[in-house]
Amino acid sequence: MMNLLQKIVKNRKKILGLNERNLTFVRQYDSKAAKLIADNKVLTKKVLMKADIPTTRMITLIKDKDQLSSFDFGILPKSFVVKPANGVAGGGIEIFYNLDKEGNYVRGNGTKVSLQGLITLMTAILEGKYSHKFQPDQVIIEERVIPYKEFRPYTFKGTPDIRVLLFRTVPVMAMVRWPTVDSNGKANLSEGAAASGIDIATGVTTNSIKESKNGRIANIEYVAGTNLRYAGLKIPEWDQILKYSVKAADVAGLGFCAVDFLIDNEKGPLIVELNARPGLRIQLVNEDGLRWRLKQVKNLKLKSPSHAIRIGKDIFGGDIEEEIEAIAGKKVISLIQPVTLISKDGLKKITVKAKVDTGADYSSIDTSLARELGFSSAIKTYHSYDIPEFITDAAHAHKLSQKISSEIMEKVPEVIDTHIIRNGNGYSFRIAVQIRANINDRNLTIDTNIRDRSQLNFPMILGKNELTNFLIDPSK
Amino acid sequence: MFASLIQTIIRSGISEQTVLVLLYLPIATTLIIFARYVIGWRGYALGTTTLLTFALYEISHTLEGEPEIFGGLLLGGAFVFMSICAGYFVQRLLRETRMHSLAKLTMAMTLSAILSLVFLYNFHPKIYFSSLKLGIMPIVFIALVVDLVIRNYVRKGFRKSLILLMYTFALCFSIFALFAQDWFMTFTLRHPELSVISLVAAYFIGHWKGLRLTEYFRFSDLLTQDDEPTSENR
Repeated sequence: MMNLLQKIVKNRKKILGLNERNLTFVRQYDSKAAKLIADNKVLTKKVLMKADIPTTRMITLIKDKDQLSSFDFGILPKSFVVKPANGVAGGGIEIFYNLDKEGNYVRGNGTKVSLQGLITLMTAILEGKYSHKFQPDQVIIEERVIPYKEFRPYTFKGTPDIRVLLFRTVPVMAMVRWPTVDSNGKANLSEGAAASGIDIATGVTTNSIKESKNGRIANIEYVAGTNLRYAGLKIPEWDQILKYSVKAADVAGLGFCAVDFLIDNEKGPLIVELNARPGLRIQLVNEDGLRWRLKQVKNLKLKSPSHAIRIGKDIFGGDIEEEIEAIAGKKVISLIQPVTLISKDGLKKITVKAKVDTGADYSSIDTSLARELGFSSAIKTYHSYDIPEFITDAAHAHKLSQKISSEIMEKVPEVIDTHIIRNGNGYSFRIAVQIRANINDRNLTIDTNIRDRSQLNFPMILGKNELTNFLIDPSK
Repeated sequence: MFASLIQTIIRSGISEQTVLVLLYLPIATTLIIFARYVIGWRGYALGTTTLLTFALYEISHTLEGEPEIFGGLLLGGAFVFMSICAGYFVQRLLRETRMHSLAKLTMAMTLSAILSLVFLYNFHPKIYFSSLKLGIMPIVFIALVVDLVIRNYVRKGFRKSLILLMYTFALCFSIFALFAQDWFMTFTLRHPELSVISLVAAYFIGHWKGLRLTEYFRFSDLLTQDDEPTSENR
């Protein structure tokens, strides 16, 4: 019980609640003008188009009942979307997929709406039935987005909606909402849609949830009635999505917001909405709190949109990596991996970029670096033997090793071994020492030889002998 | 100091009931915002919830001027029920009909008023309610609730709008039940500073950034999560 309470007390600091969202983030970071842009879809489109950010194409805008009564419905394509300009929580949005021979508009679930029914819907929108504070509204008629074909097996009827949540233009969390049979083809979680978290760094889906009609949230793994997993799907054009979302938040002046995308099969990602008061379910979808993420970004100095994206990826990405690490019990490292080396006396820490070389049997560090770490006497002793840099003959190299290895190790106890390394110029004889190091939060002692690497690109290489506890991700 | 001021006001001719209602108002609104921001209790807007609370309070008064909790709940509940029925019925019936929304609303209110009248005609003289004063304004106000019922029904659907209404009514009834207690009336009149304390409380609630109580349930999975995510819980 105490353990549970301790966990709650500790974890509540990570989670963002509605009170803090409204008081600290929406009020402080979203200006009135910015909220006005986000709340009005017509304004949003204007702002985005001006900044060359792709958005769903508006066919027409009906501003009042006079325009509605004189509107020529014949100009509409067979497939289109009707939505209120100032709608709330997806209310009033209708997607029509076709026009039948009798002139009825066909919805996703197969039900039909007559022309009169369509006019009634538009009248209701104009009267403000779905708008903020029930104020008179405008009707947007928009082109229907053709869902990205790779998404089709995951969705029922509608188009999945990708949401990126940003704070100070840094992407902090993301999710994709999948229309289901329960949600009747709508990508609305409260109506029964499913949702998957997205790893910011890679754009790959992670954990998935679904809300039942009575409001209960359950973790799910598979698309209903199939063996298809929601997790592990790579969202197409992910970097482009991040780029557009950062740019959109920037041009709209929204410090805290969510940017919603639909992915058109031909046009790619299109922004469909900016949200100045994003919901907090995204935390449940990603199984992580937003609060600690927002705090991390609060005081950062951001140089450019690409810097904001890089920060988002670096700090909040890696969900997939963590999962792999948890399963494999190994840490994921990159081909060029930062390694922190600790000096012999433990007083100095030096971080260098090491090249991960699975072709090398042993790790190796540069002579000057070894000196900084306190191995000067070992280097001095090595040089006192006047050993040639390269030995062309293998037999000669081994003979030399047999002759002086034990002598050096006896003179300098910190030399734990000697290595004969073959390379393009022949063979080289090197001394090896043990150095304490930290690689991707893992402390270990590495056996590394010492050589002059001043002419090489990296002061250190990590060889096979130290890589057994790591997995290598070349895309990192 | 406050108590003597209140006694002076009452002695000047203003009814004790009026003074009490005015002292109750800040307490009611503070309790509502406490329920909203600290507990996370959903409901209609502050004004509507407050008015519904006082409508229940007023409707519960007997001919002798004493509040009667059970009567208030029963009669208030009945009027609210009729408003809901009128609202849902008219909205459902005229869903596909092309007409101005305010006209639909008027029709729903008319139906609500008729239903209330029929109810009173049938039940008032026969049972328990005959002892209640039945002021006009609370009945009119409850009939007007139909406006909110329709708006929420259109936006949120039947189930969600009904749940919201139930939450609102439960909160209103809880506050009304507190206000109708003799000891609380006496306490408020003797300690009118309670209203000033409400003001201070409202200030602090207005700055409350912590999780709402209901959010502890909503995010229970995250709150009870281990520090390091494992393959089992990810």
